[in-house]
Amino acid sequence: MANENTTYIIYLINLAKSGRHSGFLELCELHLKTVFTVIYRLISNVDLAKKLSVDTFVTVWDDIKDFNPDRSFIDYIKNIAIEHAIMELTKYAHSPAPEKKIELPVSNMDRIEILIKHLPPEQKVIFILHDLEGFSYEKLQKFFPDMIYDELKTILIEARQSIISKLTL
Amino acid sequence: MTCEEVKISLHDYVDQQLNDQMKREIAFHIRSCENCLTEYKKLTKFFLYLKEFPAVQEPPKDIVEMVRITLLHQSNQLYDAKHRDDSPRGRKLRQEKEKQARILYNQQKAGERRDKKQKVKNPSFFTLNKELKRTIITLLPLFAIALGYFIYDLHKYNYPWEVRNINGVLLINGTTIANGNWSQDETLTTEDNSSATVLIPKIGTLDIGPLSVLNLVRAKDGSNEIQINRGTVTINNSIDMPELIVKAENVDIIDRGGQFTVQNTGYEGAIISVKFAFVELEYNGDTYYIDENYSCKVRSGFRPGIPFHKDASDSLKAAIENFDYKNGGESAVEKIIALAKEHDALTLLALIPQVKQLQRQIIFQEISNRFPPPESVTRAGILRLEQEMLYRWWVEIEWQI
Repeated sequence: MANENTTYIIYLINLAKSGRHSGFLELCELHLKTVFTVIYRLISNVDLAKKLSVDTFVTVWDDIKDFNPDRSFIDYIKNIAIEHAIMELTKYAHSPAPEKKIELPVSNMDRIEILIKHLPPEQKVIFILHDLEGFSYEKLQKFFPDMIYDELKTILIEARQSIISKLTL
Repeated sequence: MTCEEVKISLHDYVDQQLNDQMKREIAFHIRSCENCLTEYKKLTKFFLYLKEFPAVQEPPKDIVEMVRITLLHQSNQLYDAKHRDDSPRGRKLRQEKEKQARILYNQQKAGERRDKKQKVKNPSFFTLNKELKRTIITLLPLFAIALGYFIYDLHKYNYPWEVRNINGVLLINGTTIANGNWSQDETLTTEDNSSATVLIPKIGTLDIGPLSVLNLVRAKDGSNEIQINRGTVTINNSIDMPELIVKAENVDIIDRGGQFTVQNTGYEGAIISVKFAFVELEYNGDTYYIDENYSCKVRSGFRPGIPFHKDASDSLKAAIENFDYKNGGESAVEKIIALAKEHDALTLLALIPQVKQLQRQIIFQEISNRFPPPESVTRAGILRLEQEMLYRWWVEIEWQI
């Protein structure tokens, strides 16, 4: 992807690299909505999304000395946010909660929101990143290095179909 | 193309992942097959709903503040690790403290267990078995020592710091106060056109200017520390040997009595101006001195700047800035030497450790013409950058300026 860093972003990155909290906090302000939105979509819990957003920024601060300014900063920070959210989602993936019958609202829009929330973690991440965040399969593979292209596609289609089957379209 | 094949490729069709040939075949099939058309319509309607999802989710307002506090906490921990007293005395004290804390913890646990037992049996001390009695008798002196140490340590705490003369809006940990106290680990903030005075017990006062953000890192006898993240503070000492450190950027400003101001502008770093006496700066294990009527800039990632006198010319200040932060090199040094007047002698002296041998010799001669080094200070020693000799010459010049 082309480098989207503005001169101001590069200036703030350089300040942060030299250890300046103030410059880094300004970077946080500028990317707060991006980071929080993607985490919240994946996690669906405000408090947890808040905690993971803080963790994301602290990780970025710890690693910023190695950040290559030729790379898009927004992609970099978003990828770290997604990694944190995936880690949180997969923490309890081996002990799935017993299937509960979900109460579905009448409107399709509200239904979609609830149904996304209740997708299995893998389907949820792939669906949100591909269909809501606009990630390509190539980009998705970075988060699922063990999956081939066709596997990702199959999981995405399963997720879509599981939602569509419960809508009145 | 069969319905089954279309069903498989329909998602790729909607995602526009198919070649023209495939697209044409599917489009043709959809037009002639009712079931596949229904499937296609469902899928496209579903994507219309997805487009309605909000582009951004409004984040809670305090996330960045939480990041700021976490980073501050991290840097405090780093500072503690870096400044740990690893001398035999420091190690011994630490071991003793840990030992006493362990004893106290064990005693608390033992107490809890005892309480539980007593709830069941409620035995008196005299009915306890011998082993337990022996344990209690053994632990009693240790407990007394731990308690003594705890009281001694508590006695050393030097807070809260009283906040007085508040003009405008002042917040402590985000809460506006009209008057009150500032305690350890709390953040004090002043707003535009606001100011206040803080009374530091056993040290003096701290005048805080507008738009300041300060953190009281430690308030203990022998170790009082504040971090200035932004704004202006002036320290007025009421004793000769205060125990106060102001942390600005990555430099520790050690108060050595008198009066000085630290102004941290945020992006442009901080400037320290000494009005009376002097201050010491500690950076990466090196010590730098700033005498009264001198100022010095500090920026993250750089050693403290060369100090300059309050009457130094603008061109001299520009040459110093050029040398410190713009890789001015030898030409900047030559300019500083040429522009320095008598009151700038300590600027020249501070320059010596930062330049090459040849320029050291020139600067040595330049200073010697005005302030000959004392007997115990030799030319060779200064050129070898012997710290003791540099300090003695600094003292010799300092009282004459």
